Amino acid sequence: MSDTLNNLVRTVEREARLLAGLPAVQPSPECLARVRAAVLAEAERLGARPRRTRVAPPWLASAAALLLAVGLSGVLRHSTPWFGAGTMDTDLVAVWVDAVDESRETLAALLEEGWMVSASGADVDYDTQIDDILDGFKEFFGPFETL
Amino acid sequence: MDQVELEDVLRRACRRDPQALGRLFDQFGPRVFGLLLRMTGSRDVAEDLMQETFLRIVRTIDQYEEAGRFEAWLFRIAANLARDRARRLGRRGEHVSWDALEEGASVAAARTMDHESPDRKLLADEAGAHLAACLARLTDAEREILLLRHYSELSFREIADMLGVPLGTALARAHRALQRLRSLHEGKG
Repeated sequence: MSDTLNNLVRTVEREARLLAGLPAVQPSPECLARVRAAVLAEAERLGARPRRTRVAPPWLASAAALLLAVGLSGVLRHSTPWFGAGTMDTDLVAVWVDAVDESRETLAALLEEGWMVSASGADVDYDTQIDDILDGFKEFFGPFETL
Repeated sequence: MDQVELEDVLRRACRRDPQALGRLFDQFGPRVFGLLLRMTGSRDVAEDLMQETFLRIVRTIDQYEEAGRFEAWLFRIAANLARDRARRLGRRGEHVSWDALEEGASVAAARTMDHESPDRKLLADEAGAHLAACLARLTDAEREILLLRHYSELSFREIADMLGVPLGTALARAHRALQRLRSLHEGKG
């Protein structure tokens, strides 16, 4: 630090003694007790469950993009006659709706089971996970194959 | 709490040990409150922001790196919360009323008057209340740097790092703020 800065530090520190005259302010005892209780409750809440952070494995984006592309191309191939012919088969629509519902449930289950959310700090076996995810996607897109 | 004890408490707090987090609150809560009260001018707001500050600490304590000083991290969170609030009020065209705070401070000071030397204590209290009123007349940036120095007890180097400004800038700002404060306090402002 240069002499100029050192001198300025000393000057400002000396001038800052003026602040010692500020009246001391304290939170009320009720406030202290309330905030302390909130801090402890939050610590208990967060400490009682394993720390979980969102971890998206690096291969996830490409895998998802690939599978979605494959799935969408299949869906679009099947969907073309519906709109192109100007008529709508109500049975097919019902199957479509069921498939979408089922796929949502599958996706929700995958997420819940730790597809994207995995325990922080734990050893993650990505090979096993990717197999599980691919199986999941297969199941996910299965209903579309029958459309 | 000395440095060794603080480091031990912080290690336990990083594992979200409630007792350790309670110790941190006991140790730093009143100083954080002081900073927030002087920055916001409202006891209610300062109490709310103090709670928010410590809840954020609890939620993110696992990200605390021992290389940095805990006080710098803690007071940065508190100051950011107060600054964000001031910005929100500014956008809505609202202004802080400091009169109520200073009136409250005088009443509180009078309540704790020392009976052995009441006149002297009263004068000191009045001077303190006047100083606080003068502090409230500084700009937000001027007031913030002085309050951070006073309540966090960090060095100006650490405060400069906290504010993301060069040390020279922080010192110049503090120097200017102190000159203005003294001038106002002596009735020249």
